[in-house]
Amino acid sequence: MVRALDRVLRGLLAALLGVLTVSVFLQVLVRFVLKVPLPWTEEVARLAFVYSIFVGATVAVREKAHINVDVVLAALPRRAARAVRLAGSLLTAGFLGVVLWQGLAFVAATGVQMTPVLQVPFRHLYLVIPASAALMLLYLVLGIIDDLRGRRP
Amino acid sequence: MTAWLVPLLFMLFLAGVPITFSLGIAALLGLLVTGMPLVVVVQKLWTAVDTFPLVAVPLFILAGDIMSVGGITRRLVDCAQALVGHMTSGLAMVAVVGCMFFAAVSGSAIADAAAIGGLLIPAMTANRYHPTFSAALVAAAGTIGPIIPPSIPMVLYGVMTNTSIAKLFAGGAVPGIIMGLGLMAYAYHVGRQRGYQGRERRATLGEIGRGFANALLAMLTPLIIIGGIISGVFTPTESGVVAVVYALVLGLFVYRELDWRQLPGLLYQSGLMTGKVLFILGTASVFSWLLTVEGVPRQVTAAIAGLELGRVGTLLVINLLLLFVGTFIDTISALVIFTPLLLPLASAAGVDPVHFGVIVAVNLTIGMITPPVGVCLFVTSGIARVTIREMMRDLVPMIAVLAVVLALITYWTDLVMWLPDRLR
Repeated sequence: MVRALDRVLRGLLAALLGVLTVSVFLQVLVRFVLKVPLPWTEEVARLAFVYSIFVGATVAVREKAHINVDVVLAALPRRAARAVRLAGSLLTAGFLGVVLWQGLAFVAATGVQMTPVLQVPFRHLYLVIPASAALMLLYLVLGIIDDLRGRRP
Repeated sequence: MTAWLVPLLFMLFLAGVPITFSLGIAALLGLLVTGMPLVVVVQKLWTAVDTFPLVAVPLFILAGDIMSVGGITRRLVDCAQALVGHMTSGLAMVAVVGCMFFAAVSGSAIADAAAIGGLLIPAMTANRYHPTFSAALVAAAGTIGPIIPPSIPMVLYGVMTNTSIAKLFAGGAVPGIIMGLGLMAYAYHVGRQRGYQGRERRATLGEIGRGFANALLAMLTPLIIIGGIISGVFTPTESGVVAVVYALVLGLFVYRELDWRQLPGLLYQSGLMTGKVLFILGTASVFSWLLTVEGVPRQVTAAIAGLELGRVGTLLVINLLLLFVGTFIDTISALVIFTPLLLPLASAAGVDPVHFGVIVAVNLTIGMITPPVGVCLFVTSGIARVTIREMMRDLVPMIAVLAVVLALITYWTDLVMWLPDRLR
């Protein structure tokens, strides 16, 4: 179940980078060859880019790849290090919980505003914020459980 | 009022909480205490990154990744070999020049150290260079990656401060070359002492010609990227995509060292890096928005202006502060946290924002080779199979060389500004 989710997110992340690259490339190509601007390319590239950040940050929680300072943790005895890590994870969960809650509120409060070129409602686009917060929470909790069971972080 | 947020932030860092979440947690507590609406967090996460110039960041990351597996890096190194391989400490010279060439196609120090180190550290060990020296040198030369354009930290600085990215890139060119020359001079000095030899003979003109011919297509990459941006033909974002496509064409069809099947993996890898780096920008912007609303940058500026340090003193204080911060936070995080705090201070002291951006970039990339948290050291020590502690003796003089370059570019304004001032 979780494995399938991992695969979907990884595939989505690679696809977003692909879409981003292709649309910026089309923009250059069309501007130089046909000498006309292609307005949707910038919008698609930007959206793919913002989405890739949220998805990438989510995958990074799963991979424990987010940048952190581990000199203190490495110097502490194992049990103390685990306690500090746990406290940090709980604070992080609190933050992500607020992003999830406020993200849903933000989506609900966004009116009928559309993106300028493609006319996609922002309300739908913003869903990525609470969605990625929820997935990060899920991965964080799975990480905490692994840590408590004594598997290597 | 909210100055306590900064020590709180550093406590969270030290507790090992990922930097991006430390910023989010501290900002959230600040919002709660000051009674400001929490929805700001969500808004900033989106708006901080929803801008076209930033799209250059994933493209430069992707271009660097493709070049490393697509055979471009090796040809750049071959070309450096023909040029400087015969000198004392020949392979060390090749490593530094290789890092400078690679810096001109990539915008990241880690990519630079990994790409060049992977090729040259084993070769250096085989030729009786001390592995600690090789690892230290490639890590130090890797810091040229984000200084010679293109540069990921400079894209972020430009977006945050509304400074021309093209001018910032131009400003990095001369400092990056000086960093390289400084490290080469030091490698020469060590080579004389320890008897690191170059190749038997100087490459003939014909060999140099062949080296360039083989590397010609690869060497065009920096020309396209840097030339395109500085001449204004491309925006930085567009030059990023041109670099990606050019690297793909070379790797897939010309050198044939890249396989279509590797592409999804490369895209994923770059996407993960993008998420890691730019989510930090999102949470950092909540944090610095809060500090700005509370007037902290203004108070800091007023307090330090009250000391009447003048331009020289202010830049000294800023540089020392950033060097200290850079030893234990990574470049990007330090950049996005401290730029909004320090730029007003520098501007008040009469420093041009472009000049300041280059100073910050050079300063914070030096932090990538200072323990305990020096990401480039992790990369090269892994390749050379030495510990960072063992590297220290060789590393410290190199850090000193780079610090001298930092002082030079800080106080000799024309070194940085000559080229950007020539742009329209």
